[in-house]
Amino acid sequence: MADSSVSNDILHVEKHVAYIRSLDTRRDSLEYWLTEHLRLSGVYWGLTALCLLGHPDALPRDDTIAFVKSCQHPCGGFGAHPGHDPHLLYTVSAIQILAIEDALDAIDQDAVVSWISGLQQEDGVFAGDEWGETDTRFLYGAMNCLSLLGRLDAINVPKAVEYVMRCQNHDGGFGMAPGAESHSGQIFTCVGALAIAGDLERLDKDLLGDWLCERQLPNGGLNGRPEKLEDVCYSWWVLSSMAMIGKLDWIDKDSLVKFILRCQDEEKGGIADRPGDMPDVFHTVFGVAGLSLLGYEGLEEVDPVYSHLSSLDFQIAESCNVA
Amino acid sequence: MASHGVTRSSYAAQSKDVAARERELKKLTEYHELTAEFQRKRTEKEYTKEALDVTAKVLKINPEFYTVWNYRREILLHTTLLPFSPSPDGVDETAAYGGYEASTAGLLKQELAFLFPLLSSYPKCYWIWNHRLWALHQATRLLSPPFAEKFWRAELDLVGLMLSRDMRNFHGWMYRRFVVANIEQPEKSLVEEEFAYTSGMVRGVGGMTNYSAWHQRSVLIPRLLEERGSGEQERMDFLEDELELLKRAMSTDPDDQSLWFYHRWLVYANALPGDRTAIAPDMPVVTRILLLVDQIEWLKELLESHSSCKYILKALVSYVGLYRTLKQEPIPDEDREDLDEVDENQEQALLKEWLDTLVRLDPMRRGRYMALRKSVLIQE
Repeated sequence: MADSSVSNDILHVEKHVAYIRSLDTRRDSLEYWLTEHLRLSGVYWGLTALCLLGHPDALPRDDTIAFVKSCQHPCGGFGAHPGHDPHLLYTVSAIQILAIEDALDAIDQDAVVSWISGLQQEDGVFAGDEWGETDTRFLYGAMNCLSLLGRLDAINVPKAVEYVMRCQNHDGGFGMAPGAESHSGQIFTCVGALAIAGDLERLDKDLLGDWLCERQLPNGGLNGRPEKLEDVCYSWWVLSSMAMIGKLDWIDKDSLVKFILRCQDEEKGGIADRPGDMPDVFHTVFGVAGLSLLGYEGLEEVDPVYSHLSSLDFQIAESCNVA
Repeated sequence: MASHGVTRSSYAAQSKDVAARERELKKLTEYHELTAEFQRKRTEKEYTKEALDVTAKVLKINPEFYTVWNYRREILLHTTLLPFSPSPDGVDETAAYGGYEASTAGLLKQELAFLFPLLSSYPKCYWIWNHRLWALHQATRLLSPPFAEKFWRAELDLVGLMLSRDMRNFHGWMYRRFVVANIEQPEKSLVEEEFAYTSGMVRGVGGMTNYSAWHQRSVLIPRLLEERGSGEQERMDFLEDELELLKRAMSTDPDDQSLWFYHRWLVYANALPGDRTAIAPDMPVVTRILLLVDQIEWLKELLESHSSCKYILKALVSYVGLYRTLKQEPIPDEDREDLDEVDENQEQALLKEWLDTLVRLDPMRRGRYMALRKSVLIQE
């Protein structure tokens, strides 16, 4: 409950660190097991938040690397957990964790590269796994991974870029496929892919920036699409996209900082989607990353393109509540 | 791990409830048993009806467990969803195929029926939508084209139902485009039907504010006009009707963003030459200018009754800037006389006034307005 003695004017760094460290101890809760299918991404979100909060060593490094390795399949891809099938979403998380821990040589990188490059389709987009679902999220994930591995040469980058441009809408935004409605999360993946490819000049930055800055609502929070509610995770996708096109000053940073801070659980740590809601590691990392991009004092700097933080799991944001 | 919209107070109340905690532990034990059974069967590559039942039980509790969906598809592909194979001993092949088709269709219907309640409970779960699409592709793969088409047609009704429950569900809209693409053939287009669907949406209750429907409309229009074989006059009439539809909506609710983004598309795509999404791409420059002036004049009128609506002001500033760009184009002398002279000083003063008001009304986006100011004001 709101505790009037603790104010949400500041970031409760120590509480958030304690909250993230406690996550793996909740094995007697149903929620812990119902979210096993995202565990590897969960580790990545937790680790990234800890890095930004200045506590990169708060999770045991060796255990983290061993867990990542245990999720890799002989084909090269990673599942979310041992016993879960390989998927690009979790492969991105795995590579990002290893990049943060400076442990990329702990795995067979060639196998990852060959598995990912095999997912590129004729039209340039990527499938998420052997079952063939395609999405600009996967395209971005593949490019992010391969650039972290220094192996963008293994795929057809110009074709991927052409596909991204086909997903652009008249409002300047991007959707999950050609013809799909603009959505902040997909905009992040498409702009991120163009940034990695060195093709940001193909964007109409004023048009896109205008759509993005209209995501800010009177309470300071950002929404993901027009006429939708604000949510902390969009402070990352909208903001990082604006940073990549140099339009961060088109929104009111102070009121966004205050909004994110209001979403903290001031007692137990963690950040929620909106003030008063249950926190989770996903909103915690996106809240902290947003604050970092806004220049909040005392946080490590986040890179808007790779960020050590870029997993595209806004799938989670749109997904069902798993609690 | 990602809890959207669960309040801390309701969670705290639930945690203190001893009976609820006991129920949770019981559920947890059941879930562990089920997932252990799933993992064992998968490792043993068991493709049976029993294994299929286990996947159903797990997925009803946790439809996000993507690996279980993969296993379910493997089981179906190994057991029931097999291609037709005529028996070698010369029995009536047509009759055999008829029997095969009916039973396969029955199986696919069962699969779709299993998915429907899940989709209703978890309308934003990617994996359920994916599996449903996969099941429909099995209809295309295994059944004769007319039979398969019945499945896709029925699906269009279902997605209509889902969208009527949540008009903005982007999974639903995406899925609708997939379904339509799978029904369409080179000689059979659904573009008229789909366009009519968006018309019904935007004209229905709450539809004006439906950004998703306006978006879909903007995607369909260029193809619609192409397929109708519309000439320039028809295209101009179409554009005018579309602007008229918006005018009515905007007069009712000028603070609705959806309308303004759509309006901006109509105005820009048809004002500037060479836009591939233009409705009337071949208008002479003077017509384009007059159309734009019409919109500007109308917005000025609208501003009189809604003086604190930032969207009107922002559109006015942008459109006047656009007007200035258009006037740089070569205009034939005989057309030039159709255009009114503009007093540049007066125009600049108006722009300045609108921009000042914008910053005052909407200080959050001050940086955005300063950039706009730089692009339209000649000097300060």
